[in-house]
Amino acid sequence: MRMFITLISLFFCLNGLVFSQSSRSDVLYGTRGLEMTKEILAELVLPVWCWDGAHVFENAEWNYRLMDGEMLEEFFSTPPSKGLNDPQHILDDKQKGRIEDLIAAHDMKSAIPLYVNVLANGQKLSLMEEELKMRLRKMFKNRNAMVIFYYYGYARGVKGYVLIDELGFIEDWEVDELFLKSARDASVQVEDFPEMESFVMDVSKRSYWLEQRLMPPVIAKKSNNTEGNEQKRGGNSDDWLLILLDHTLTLFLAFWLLTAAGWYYLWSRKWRKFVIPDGDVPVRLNADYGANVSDAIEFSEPKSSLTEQYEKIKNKEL
Amino acid sequence: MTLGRLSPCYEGIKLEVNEGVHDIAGVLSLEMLKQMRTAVMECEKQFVGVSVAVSFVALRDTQTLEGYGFWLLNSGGFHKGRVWQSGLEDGRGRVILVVDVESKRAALSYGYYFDGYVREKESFNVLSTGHASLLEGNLAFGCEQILIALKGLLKKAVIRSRKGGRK
Repeated sequence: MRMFITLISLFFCLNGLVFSQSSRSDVLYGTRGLEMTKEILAELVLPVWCWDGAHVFENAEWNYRLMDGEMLEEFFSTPPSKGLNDPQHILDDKQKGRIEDLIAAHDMKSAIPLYVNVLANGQKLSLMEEELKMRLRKMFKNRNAMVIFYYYGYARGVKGYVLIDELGFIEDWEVDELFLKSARDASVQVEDFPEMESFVMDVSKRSYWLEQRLMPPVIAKKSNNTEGNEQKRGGNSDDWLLILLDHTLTLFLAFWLLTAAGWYYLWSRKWRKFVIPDGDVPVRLNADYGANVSDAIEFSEPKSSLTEQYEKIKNKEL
Repeated sequence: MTLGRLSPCYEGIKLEVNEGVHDIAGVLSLEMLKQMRTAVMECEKQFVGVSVAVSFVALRDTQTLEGYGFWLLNSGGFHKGRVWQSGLEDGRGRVILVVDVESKRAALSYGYYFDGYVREKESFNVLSTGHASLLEGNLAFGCEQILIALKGLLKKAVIRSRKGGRK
């Protein structure tokens, strides 16, 4: 009887332990959670029927993690309409907007557009590496692209690929470094979304150097040809235009100031005084004030022109 | 011909010039008189020591326009409502436009301050500006035009006097 009671008690204890571990596994997603469950279960000496429950759970978790079928196709639609692809709606609208803004800002500056696919932490695409690359190559045929598979909440698990039109996939340590360093820096963030935000920003920044190496900018050489000179002239005029636009307010104020100063000068000249300097003038004809009389004009005869009159006066003087 | 010898010729002519307008001929209406006084004031307001006057006369055959201008300049009593602008009101800064409505002639008489600064051709040109209106019988408007041109000539004369000696 004592033995029976002991076995019954042990049975219930072990059952409770197993189920409690299962419920913990429900919380811990991903590889880490699964490994922990396996470890716990392996430590226990349990009858076969006890393992059945664990296998059921493992399969359920595996189904959740594995991305295949229609959902997989969501990540390889051609051509990708947007930089951000989140078919599982892991991000809310606000977060989506923010990431899209970052991608748009990157695309404006870079010759390698950024495509971010969002997956949940612990999920996995049911594709081999070569298969995945083939599909990406098909997707971005003759185009440049930087494709990221980002596991939300686990930046370190990120997978990234860089495709250049002429060169195809870039298999380079610099590409790996680009994503790894970005992920490392982003993982400093405690919360999931700031981590993702930081990662996208870092990738955008670091990709500049990669781009410089892979696609060096074309530097115009000095030449005396007409086309070059025209470009130079065009550039200079653009520069001047920009400088003028920058100083629009200053120029506007300066113009009005000069106009006002001009008007004031003209207005003040209207009121300026003319003073005849007093000097020694010889008095003539016993006159005290003046003895100078001009030639007279006649206005009796309309036919007598002023020219005629002037000539007549001149002749008289002679 | 001296001033003393001229005096008997112009005896009996009123010598008082009020507010720069001297209308012995009686050709100006009250409105025209006002218009002329304004024009005279406008002409001389920018000058210091310069007094401008307009005289309308009807001279007899024995009298000459030039002689009358010379006589009025030296013998006339110029009265102004306002005080002159400086101490040069001794008459040597006077300029008189004389219009003889009888012989239909007009001339300018200058005080000594303008000697050497005003040229004959320029005076003739100043008088020419009002010729058309004077021909039409519009004496007030013709004189107004002459006064506007005279203002420019006097400015020129002042600038010349600042620059250098008389010619």
